[in-house]
Parts: sequence; structure tokens; C-alpha cells
Amino acid sequence: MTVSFGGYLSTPADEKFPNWAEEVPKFLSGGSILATGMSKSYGDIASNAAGTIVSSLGLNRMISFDAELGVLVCEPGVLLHDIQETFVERGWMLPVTPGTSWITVAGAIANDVHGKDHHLAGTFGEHVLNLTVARSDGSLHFCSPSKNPELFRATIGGLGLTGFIVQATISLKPAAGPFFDTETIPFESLEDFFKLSQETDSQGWQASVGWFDCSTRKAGRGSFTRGNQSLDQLDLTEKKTRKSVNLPITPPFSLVNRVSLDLFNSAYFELQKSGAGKRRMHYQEFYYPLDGVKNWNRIYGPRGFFQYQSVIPMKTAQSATSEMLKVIRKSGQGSFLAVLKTFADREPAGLLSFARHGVTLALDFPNRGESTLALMESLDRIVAEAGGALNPSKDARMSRSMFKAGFPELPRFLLQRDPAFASDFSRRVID
Amino acid sequence: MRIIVISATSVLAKCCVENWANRANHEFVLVGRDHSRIQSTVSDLSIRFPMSTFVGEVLDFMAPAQIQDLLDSLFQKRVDLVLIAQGSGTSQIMASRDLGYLAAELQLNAVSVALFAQGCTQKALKANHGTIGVIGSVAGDRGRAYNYAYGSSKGLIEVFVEGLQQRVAGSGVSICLIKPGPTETPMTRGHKGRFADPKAVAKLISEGLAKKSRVIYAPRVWRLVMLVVRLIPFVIFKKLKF
Repeated sequence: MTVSFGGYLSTPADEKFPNWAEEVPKFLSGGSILATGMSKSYGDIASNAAGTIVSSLGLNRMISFDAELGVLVCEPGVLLHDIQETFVERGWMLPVTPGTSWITVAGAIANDVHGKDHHLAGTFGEHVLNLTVARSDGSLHFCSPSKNPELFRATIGGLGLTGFIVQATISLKPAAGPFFDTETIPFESLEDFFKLSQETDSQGWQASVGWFDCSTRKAGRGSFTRGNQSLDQLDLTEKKTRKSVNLPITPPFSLVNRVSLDLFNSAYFELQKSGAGKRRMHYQEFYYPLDGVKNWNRIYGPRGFFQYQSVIPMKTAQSATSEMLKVIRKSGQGSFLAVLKTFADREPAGLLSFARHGVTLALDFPNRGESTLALMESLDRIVAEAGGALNPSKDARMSRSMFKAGFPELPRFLLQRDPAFASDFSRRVID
Repeated sequence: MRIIVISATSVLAKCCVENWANRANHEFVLVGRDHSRIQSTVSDLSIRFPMSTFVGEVLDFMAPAQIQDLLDSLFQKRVDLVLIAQGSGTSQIMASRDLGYLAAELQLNAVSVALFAQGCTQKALKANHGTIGVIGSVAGDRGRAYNYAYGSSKGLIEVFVEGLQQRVAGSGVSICLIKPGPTETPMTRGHKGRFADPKAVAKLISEGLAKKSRVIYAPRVWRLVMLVVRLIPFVIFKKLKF
């Protein structure tokens, strides 16, 4: 049985663990195949009930590194964590990273992940130079923006449905060192967030993210963090390996409820407010605050949780976002972590890339069954009406029509799909 | 240190190399059977640990003359540490039915390990220097219907190493028998049960080798577990299902 990050359960018929790239093709024959990595996707895109799962975790070697250009060739199962650790003190970092580093390179590509740096760096897929993809017919395809460009663009953000990535070439970006100069600014309303966000982008900050409270009467308040790589990195003794806390077991019920949420959000807001101002942070703390708590997702208990991430075009973003907040507040199912970010106007790297010009809102809801699903359906209506889309990597329940409407390049993508590859997500939403 | 790793492509051996390279800069010779696998292991480690050096060597693990030649050349320079790590997760079901398979597995898991251990010990004794770690298994402590094809080869290693340990006693050479419990490797993936994290096992191995322990159980709890298992009289043992 496999358990996704959000607690979605699925039982594959078989799991394969190739340890060498040359073993991969023999595992791709036969019925329904899906490549997986660290299984940090929230919903069902990395699950394949009754099919075969082929893990990339044994394929975790770096193949070559060009120290002049910062170009890394690697196997699919190399962890982002290892790339950051290996190269940061040699002057290179990943140009784009999501909020956890415990994911594989192939997973980052298949979900075309984004992070706090979208404004300047776009998505992970924009830094992929080429890929080698193994298909179920036994063939190997080299693809890049100039060679097999359709397969390349379909594989980036392709949710693992175009084949098994056996090798990837990615470019890193020069980094002065591991530290960031950050600034945290509390805000009291959504309007303030949008103002801050605009100001931050125009000032050329490297990374930014907003956390806000949508549970309490004071909904709309929050805190905005932005950061730049520190120019002065001399004092490497500041570096400390963070001790991580572990949630060793899943509690029998969700620890996230109305009371704890209210307390948490208020406490968090006050904490952010008191810590507001400028501060130097290690990249681990800046990019991966939740990596400090291992298995934090268990806090939601055995029923797990949903993450709901939408993106809404700039034009309608402000009104749609405040309407969503109103609906959430009325439902009484506040979200533990509400994260707001803006996406810049960039050409998406993949045919099914989620990140696009607009405002993205990510919400976590403990799974309370029907009422949670109903809440998300009412949010769907707002998103659809505003011309937005939902992030498949976080999803376990969106409708086919919602997916189709949000991803207009789907027909072009389907021409590149490997017919033997499938996931619980593809069966639920695409097939 | 100059460290030689036999079967460096195995997950556990690679974790040991990473553990050593993480703490200090060393000179590694990585020995394997497959040219491209050794090459990709060397490339990966060279990128991750640029301050250490990695050289690959490839040979037939079953060929005594090739083993002798390789050791002759490697021991021309000082060798501080050798880890002998080859092993294959023998399927008892296949071994029971197919004598050809059984023969090949015993060759790799027992004979080949003994050849390397003997060859290295001779060389180390000549230099009167060096630590040799040989990976056995807790499976070598008793013959069980469930896995005796594998366990017996590990049992051979145990007696062989004990002989070598007596031979080198009082010299500058130390020989260490490493007995991991079930560890998460490609061998155990897909099997049911609890498997130890190879990184944690590698840490115990490198600590044990540094202390020149005679026998390293990893995780440590296996020392106690196997003591109990060894003490069970056969009349009772034969009725047990584990």
C-alpha cells in the first residue's frame, strides 16, 4: 500500500526498485506503469492502484557537473536536498525549489514545481536543459527545447505520464553562499498583501511569500517574507545543521481543529509580528521551514488532509481571493497554512504546467469528509469563474471539467503520453 | 587514509564510503565487477566529495589469479582500510531447485569473500598495517530453513574471519567481522519486515572499524537477539517458524 503526503491510500499490484538505469526498460513492459519518487505529492498523482510502481529512488547518482557553467547531469532519483548540500558552498544552488527539499529531481520536473523565486526564476522546468525518457515500447528518447521539443514540454509538468525519466540535465544558478538577507513584514489586509507583493517584485527581490490567517475574525492579516541572497557570506561558522523534530506516529485524530487552529494562527501571527524586520537566515530555514518537522503531515491524523492550491489570473485575483476567504471563514473550516504568492508573466515550461501569471493561494484543510469536499466545491466555482486552475500535484478531488478548463494544452499533451503509463489521478481526471 | 572497497557498488558499501568521505578527505579505490556501474559510482562520489579522490577497478570476483594481481598492485602503496562487501540476496526457493544457481551464489557470497579476505590479510601482514572489515550477516549465526543457502555462506565467512583474527593477533593488522541485520537495500526492497537504514548501519560500521572491534552488529540490538537465537536448543529450534 502507498500513502500519499495528504494521506491518500492506494494499493499498487507491484513495486519495482531498479538500482541502475539499464534495468529500467525491463520494468516498463506490461500494463499500467507509473514512476514514483519520494511520494510527497498530496493527492493521487503518484499512486497507481492495481498497477506497477517503478521507484526512481535507487537511481540517485550524479553523473557529471560542469563547474564553469553550473550544469548538472544526474539520475532521476537525486534529491534536491543533496544538490543544495553538495553545491552551495561551491557557489551554486538550485534556481528554483519548492517548500521541501526531500523530493527527487524527476518529481520536481514531472510536477514542474515552483517556489518563492517565480518572479525571477520561473519554475523548475525552465532550468532543465534536456531529458532522456524511457518509454514502455523499450525506446529511449533524448529531448530538449530543440530536439523532440513536444515530448520535452509534455514531460515537464507531465505528471509522470510520458515515460520514465532516466537522466536529466539541469542548470544551477550562481550563489554567493548559503545565507539570505530576509525581511518579514506583517500586513493587516489582503489589499496590503497585494501592495507589498507588487512593491517587492518591482524592487527586484529574489524570493517572496506571504502567509496569512483565514481562520479567525481577523482574517486577511498575515505576514510577508522576502529575501535576497546575502552578499556578505564570510561567516560560514554561522552554519548549523538544523536538528529536526519528528512526529513519530499518526495521532488517532486530527490535532488541527477549530480551537487549535485559532490558537496557532494567532500565536503565529504574533510571533511573526514580533520577529518582523530584517534578519539573516540559512537557506534551509528560508526555503524549507517545514523540513524542520519530519512527518508534519501526520498532525492531521489518520484521515489526512487536503491541500487546495489555485491560481487566478491577475485581473480577477484580488476579488476572487477575498471571495474565497469569505467562503472559507463562513464554513468554519479554517486553514492551518494559507500561503499566497504571485506568479510572474512567463512562458510556462511545460504543456501542463500549473504556474502561470496570477496569484496562487494554497490552503490545507483537515479531511472532515463531506463538508470539506463541499467547501472545496464552492471554492472551485469561484476559481472557475475567475478563469483560474487547480494544481494537480496537490489535488485528490478535482473534477474532469475543472482540469480541462485549467489546462487547455491537454489535447497536445495527450499526443505525447506513453499509453502504458497511468496513475490514479489520470484515471480519475484525464482518461 | 587510503581505503579499498570491494564491491563498492553495493548500497551498504556506498553508504560506508559516503560516511567516511563526509568526515574527512580520503583516497578511495572502488572495486567492482561491472565497468559501467563502477564508473557511475566513481563519478557520483567524485562530484559529491571533491576533496577526496576516487579510482575504479574492475575484475572478476571469482577469479583467484585476477584477485591476486589486483591486490599485488593495490598494496604496492600503503593501504589503511579494506572493506569487503560483496553479497547477493540468495533466493532460498531458487537455490533449493536449481543447483547451478546455488553454486554461483555460494561462489560469490562465500568463496569470493574468503579469497579477498585471505589475499588482503597476507598483504596487510607483510606491511604489518591495516584494518580489514568483512561483511557477514546475522543470518550466518544459525542455519534456518528459510535462508540457509545465504546464511551458510555467511557462516563460512564467520569461521574464516575468526581464523584470520587468530592469525593476525598481536600484529599491526586488525580484522573485523561486520554483521548487519536486514538492511534496506535493493535486495530487501519489496520484502515485508523492518529494515535498518543503510546510513545508520554504515555509521556503526565506520565507528566499529575505527575502534578495531572484532565483531560489529548493526543495528546493535542484533548482538542480543542472535545470542538468544544461538542458545535455543535444536529440539526447540526445529519447531520454530521464523
